[in-house]
Amino acid sequence: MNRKRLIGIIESYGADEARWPEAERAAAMAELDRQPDAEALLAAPAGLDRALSRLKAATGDAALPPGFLAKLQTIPLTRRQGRRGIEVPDWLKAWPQLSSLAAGMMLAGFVAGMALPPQQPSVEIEIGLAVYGTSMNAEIGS
Amino acid sequence: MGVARLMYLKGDMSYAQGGADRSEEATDEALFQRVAEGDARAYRGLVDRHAAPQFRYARRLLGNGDDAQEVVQEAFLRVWREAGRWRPGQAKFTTWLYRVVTNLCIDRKRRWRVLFTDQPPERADEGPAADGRMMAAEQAAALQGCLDALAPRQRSAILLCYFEEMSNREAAEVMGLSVDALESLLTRGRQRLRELLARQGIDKTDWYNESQETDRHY
Repeated sequence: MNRKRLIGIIESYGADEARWPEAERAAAMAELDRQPDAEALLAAPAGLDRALSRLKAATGDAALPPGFLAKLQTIPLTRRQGRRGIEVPDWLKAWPQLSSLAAGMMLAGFVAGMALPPQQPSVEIEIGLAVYGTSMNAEIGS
Repeated sequence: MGVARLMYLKGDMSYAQGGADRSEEATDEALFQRVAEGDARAYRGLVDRHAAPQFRYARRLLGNGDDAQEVVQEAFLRVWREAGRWRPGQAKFTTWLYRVVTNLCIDRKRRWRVLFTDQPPERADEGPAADGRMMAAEQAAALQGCLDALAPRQRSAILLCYFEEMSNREAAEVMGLSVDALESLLTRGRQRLRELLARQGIDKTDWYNESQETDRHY
């Protein structure tokens, strides 16, 4: 915790420590105690907190409009339920990654194939063909 | 209609035979699972628990009750129709429901973007603000106007954290954001709100500044 983070917390969550993130609250309060201008840091955020609290108190008890609850409760009478979701196996959930991997491998194979020099027939094949041709000629001649 | 009606009756019968009202004691998640099985009484249990807070939240987010009713009705229609897609161990039911309502409200606001500006409404009477004698109702209306003038996601972040008393993690989960992104929305929302309040003169009133006088309004 440092002053910069403390100010970030106050700007995000306000001056009331109860609203600060639980994991950082104790450290932030200790950091606040170390600040010589602690009161000034909290003044404006506290004003906004106060205004929001008073708005909440002034508008908090909005009753549901008449008949609205009953209207919501009749939904099962008038609407069918959707189908249950299909249970997808975990391994299939990774299909976007698997398809990307497969596409990447195909692309790499294509690039490698284009980059290699054209293959020459090997010496062994040429000799084999020559021997086969000679023997065929000999058979025809005989 | 026939299938839904049968399920509705079946749900009622099973509760009636069981004697006790199980919806009183069951968790939201257990009720939601029963809703997935077509249990209309479990659905009504969720409506009883959550309709009022969701309506209040939607009304604050949208700025009016008629739109809030439509949003909450659509949200509970999804509770009924989409319960089967929810899986135990996923988000809590309340988080899921807040997320549905938040998204419906924000979508609605986006569609109407042309109707909304970031300017707070003009105050009819400029007189009493500066000396702190603004009446409570006037101050509430002016402050609500400033809140309504925020960008929808900033307003939603502030409402979830300040009015719905959610932790930063819960609010971030509802909004589908990281905690860092939520903090950024809160910071920008609070800064903007302070600017708007200053423009309206509310930062000079006893609503903003500590005063025993204000407390007498309540």
